[in-house]
Amino acid sequence: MSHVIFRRGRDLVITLLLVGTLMFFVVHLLPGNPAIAMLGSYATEDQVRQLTHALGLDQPLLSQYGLWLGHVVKGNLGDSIGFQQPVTTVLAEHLGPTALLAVASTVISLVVSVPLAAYTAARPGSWWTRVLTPLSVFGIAVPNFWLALVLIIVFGVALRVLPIAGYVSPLTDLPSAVSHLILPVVVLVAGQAALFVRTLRESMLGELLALYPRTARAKGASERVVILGQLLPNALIPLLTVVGTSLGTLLGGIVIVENVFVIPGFGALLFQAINSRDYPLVEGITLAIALGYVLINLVVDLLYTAIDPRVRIR
Amino acid sequence: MRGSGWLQRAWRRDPVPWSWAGVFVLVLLVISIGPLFAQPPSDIDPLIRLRGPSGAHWLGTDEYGRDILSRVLTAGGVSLGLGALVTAIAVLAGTVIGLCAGFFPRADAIVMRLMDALLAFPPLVLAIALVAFLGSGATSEVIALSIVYAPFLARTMRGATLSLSARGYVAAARSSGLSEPRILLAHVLPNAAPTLLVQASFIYAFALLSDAALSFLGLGVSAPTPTWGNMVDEARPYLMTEPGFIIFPGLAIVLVVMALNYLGDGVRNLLEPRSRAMLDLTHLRRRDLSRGDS
Amino acid sequence: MTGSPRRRSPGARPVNHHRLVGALLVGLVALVAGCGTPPQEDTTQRLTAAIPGDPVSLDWGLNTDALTIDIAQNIFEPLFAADRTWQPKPMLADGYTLTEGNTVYTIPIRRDVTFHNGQPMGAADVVASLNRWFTISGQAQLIKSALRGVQQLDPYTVQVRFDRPQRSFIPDLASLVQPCIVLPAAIAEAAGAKPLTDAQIIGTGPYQLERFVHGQYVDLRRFPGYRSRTEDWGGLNGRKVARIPQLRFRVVTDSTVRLNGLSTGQWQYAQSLDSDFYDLITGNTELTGLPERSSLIEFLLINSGAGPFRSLAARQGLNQLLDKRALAEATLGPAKLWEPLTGQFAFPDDAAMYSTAGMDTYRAHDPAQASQLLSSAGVGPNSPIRILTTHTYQNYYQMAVVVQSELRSIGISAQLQVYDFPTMVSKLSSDPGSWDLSMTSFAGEIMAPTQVLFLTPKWPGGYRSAAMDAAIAQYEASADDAAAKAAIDRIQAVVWQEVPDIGIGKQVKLDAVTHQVRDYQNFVGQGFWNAYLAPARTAD
Repeated sequence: MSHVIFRRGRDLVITLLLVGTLMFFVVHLLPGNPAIAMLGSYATEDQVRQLTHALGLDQPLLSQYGLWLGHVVKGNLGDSIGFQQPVTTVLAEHLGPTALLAVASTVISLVVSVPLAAYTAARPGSWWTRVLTPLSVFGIAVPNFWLALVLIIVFGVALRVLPIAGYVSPLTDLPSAVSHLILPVVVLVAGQAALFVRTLRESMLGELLALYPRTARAKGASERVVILGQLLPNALIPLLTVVGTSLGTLLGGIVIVENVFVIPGFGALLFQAINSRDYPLVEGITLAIALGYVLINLVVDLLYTAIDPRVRIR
Repeated sequence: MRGSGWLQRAWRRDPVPWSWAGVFVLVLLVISIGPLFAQPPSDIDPLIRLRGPSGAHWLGTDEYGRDILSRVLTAGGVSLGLGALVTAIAVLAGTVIGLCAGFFPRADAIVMRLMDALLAFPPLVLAIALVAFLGSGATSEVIALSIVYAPFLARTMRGATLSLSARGYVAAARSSGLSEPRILLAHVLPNAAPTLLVQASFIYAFALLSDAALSFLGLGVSAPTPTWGNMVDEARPYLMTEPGFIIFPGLAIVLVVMALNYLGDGVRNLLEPRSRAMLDLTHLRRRDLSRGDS
Repeated sequence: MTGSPRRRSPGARPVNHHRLVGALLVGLVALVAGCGTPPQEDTTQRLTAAIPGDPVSLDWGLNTDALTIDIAQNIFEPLFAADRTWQPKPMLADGYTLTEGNTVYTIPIRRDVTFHNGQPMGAADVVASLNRWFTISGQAQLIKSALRGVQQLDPYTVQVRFDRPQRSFIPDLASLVQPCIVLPAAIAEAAGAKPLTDAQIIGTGPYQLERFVHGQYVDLRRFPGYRSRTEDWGGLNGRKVARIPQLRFRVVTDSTVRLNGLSTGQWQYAQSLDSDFYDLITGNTELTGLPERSSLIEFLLINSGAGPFRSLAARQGLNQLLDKRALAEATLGPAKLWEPLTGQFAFPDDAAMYSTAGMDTYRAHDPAQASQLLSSAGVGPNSPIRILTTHTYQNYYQMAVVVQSELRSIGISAQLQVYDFPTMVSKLSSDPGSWDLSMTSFAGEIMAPTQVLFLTPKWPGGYRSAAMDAAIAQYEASADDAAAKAAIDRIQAVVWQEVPDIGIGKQVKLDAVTHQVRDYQNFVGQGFWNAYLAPARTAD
């Protein structure tokens, strides 16, 4: 196992380097001088020149890159221009809401999707299954921003039972935190659970394909139960992978949800940073997201090997 | 499997995807023909703004007095067209890259690292960053989304190429003296085509959703050109006063994306033996269970 | 349904899952039910106001954005400030005397005032603040050429000398935009022409800055050392008592969310709601709609310094092209809010500043002639017009869409560039080559024509004109009200002849409050002194 970790670790570093470099050059080629954005419309030319020099923005691009690389390796992501604080601090402050949304949504999606998928595999003929299957396609097809607005209209405007924006930390006020999270999480779960149900169902059907001739003789209720008993654990493995790969879509959904529901997480931060040309912050956020994504996939892969020793990772 | 009657057999096996294919074709028709009869979607007339459905305006007017129906139809053309373009470019680029990577091991290491770096990004986040760099508008959106989706196809093509070589297919072709490009085009590509086709329809669906999300965030096609996404965005200030504004563009997106998903499934069941087997299995079990439970 | 009982065999997980899901659902429902009630904290201690964008800077002396003015008026006080009738009255000053042919102002200042950092206010602070004001204020630029000097006569008296009479001096000090706020001398000198940093936000007002989390909220707290005036002048002046201990201004960019948060108890004040919400708000018995008493005039901002509209013919053509009524219908809400339609730079009830000169030009609408004028100026299908706009204020976005459409109707293409409001404002000045048209609004109640901001030299758009300079000089030199009025007529006439910007109509800023908010003056911006919060109703 350790050689797997080493190899994946090496891949992670290379990927991060590539990602970071890509983002560095993309961001530095963005039009607009952050010194002007910082000083505001009333800055004199002198002030702009001073600040540009202080931020090192007047140096050749490659030496700026070298400097940045040197800092990043030591864990110093620079200072955010807009917040006037280290980027790492800003990231840490905004991590909570995004992480909470991601975890809550994934957990609830898993809890919801596993029994639903099991049910549709066990009872392919029931009318529930006939409804759930198109519903899972619907869940994938429905644009999350649209669903968010529809929920806002129904629960926030018409019924007025839930707040339609804002974020309260669970550590400050748990009931209020939960009520603020309900709508955003429902939006995220709709897409994620639908994806999980489809994946799980397919992998269960795949397993069933292998087992069916043997168990075809056992009819009635016992067939259902026995098949599911053998089936489910094996079928869960691809689900684990999908949790990792669906993280990308989940993060995209979180950006939208944070925008619509005004939640101060990474997605909202990314927007703010791009709008105000806050180079160090944009780089920091994208690095953090890439790091998180790659790390989680690594963990998933390792769990994968641990659960099923038949699988070997290149 | 090919030959006369394959469509009928496929229909009988599972009519659902083909009904959705019909829906998709219907949508395409309405979108192509509709604008010829409707009013220009950008005609502003503030004096008749925010009116409900009427004889002249079947879905009513928006906050500028524009006809909503014609906007929805025009937006359909724009969104579907953009999506198709993105899919085509992504398929082309992805195929070329994937084939090369699968075929030439030296190219593989470099190219796939790059693809992995791109895939390390959540697609929407990458699209947002790219559009911020390129400036908003249709061209940047197409470029950004093609960059986002090409790696998926590259990976698929690479996988297909590798598995074909592993099966000795390629070695056999080589030993019979065929040149490399010819092997790629004449042998590898046709075998990978079914997987590619299936993936392409899903990519089209995702491209549509991404285009809608980008326009919703204000980063895509800009006014006055409507897309379904930016129509929902423009409806946001009117959620309380005109909640109906968001219905039609949103439903349009759902409809088309569902159709594409079902189509993808349908094509896959048609072309991939394993999927077809799973479908048959479902039918068998339904029959057996209903007999066992009575 | 099957007749055989459900048998549990090892590893049969579905049954457990059903129970788990069920329990979770019940728990969720219970939580939702429990969350219908408002939060537990004492709601009379803090007033939360939802605002549409980040103020970026609280430097009222430098930053001209409404968001800054709305909040900073609680923190800073100018030397002179407007009362409820928009007359400038002494605020931190104690009056003034005008001598030597109206060229020397001797200003005694109050002795009982303390800054938020505990320092007492003296003449040295006022002198430093005046010097800073003369450097950074747009209106000051119009009168600066006549300035001879600012000096301290004694620890509580300041003197300002001019070469010739400057009629607008005191009103300019009291201007709503870029007034002469009084800062501690050390800060005024250190900041100079630069924006005040958050740490330098030290004023004399009833509230002090506690925390500014950029992009999210501004927290203000009652200043215990505040010394109030005693007169009942109202407006930005007079007796001020901070009855609410804490204020929070929260950035909420979506107007629907701003309105809705009032009903769900998330805040008590919602600012800048779309005027299309007017009927919705007036119909809602739980809220009180507050059309701002001192409203704005919506303007199309034109870049006269660079690009196609450098040419006078182009600007005149643009004016002929625009259907002002259609623009008003599309952007200003129900007609009752903005009728009668006027694009002059002051409201009709501001008698001293209102002039009907040039109204015919405002009312002109002739697309054919517009097309001719524009093409004679070289503006045609090959020169796309760049319109800078924002979603932060919905009416600006709508204006941009309508103008774009009207240009297209005569064959000229226009592109919209949409940014958030602070970025848009920053681009207007920092990147004058990047835009041709934009939007803005000015206060319709002004105290001097120098407060017509687009006439000041540093205003985006780069408008400069000898005719206008002469008209303004005529105003500054006028010795009595009649002469002043004649000068106003001349200024307004020049505005419609040279068309630096095009006034559209009256923009009523619409806010709303819950019933908790009492005694709120609703003058201009959010001055929350003298207002208080009643307890939230327990029964809805």
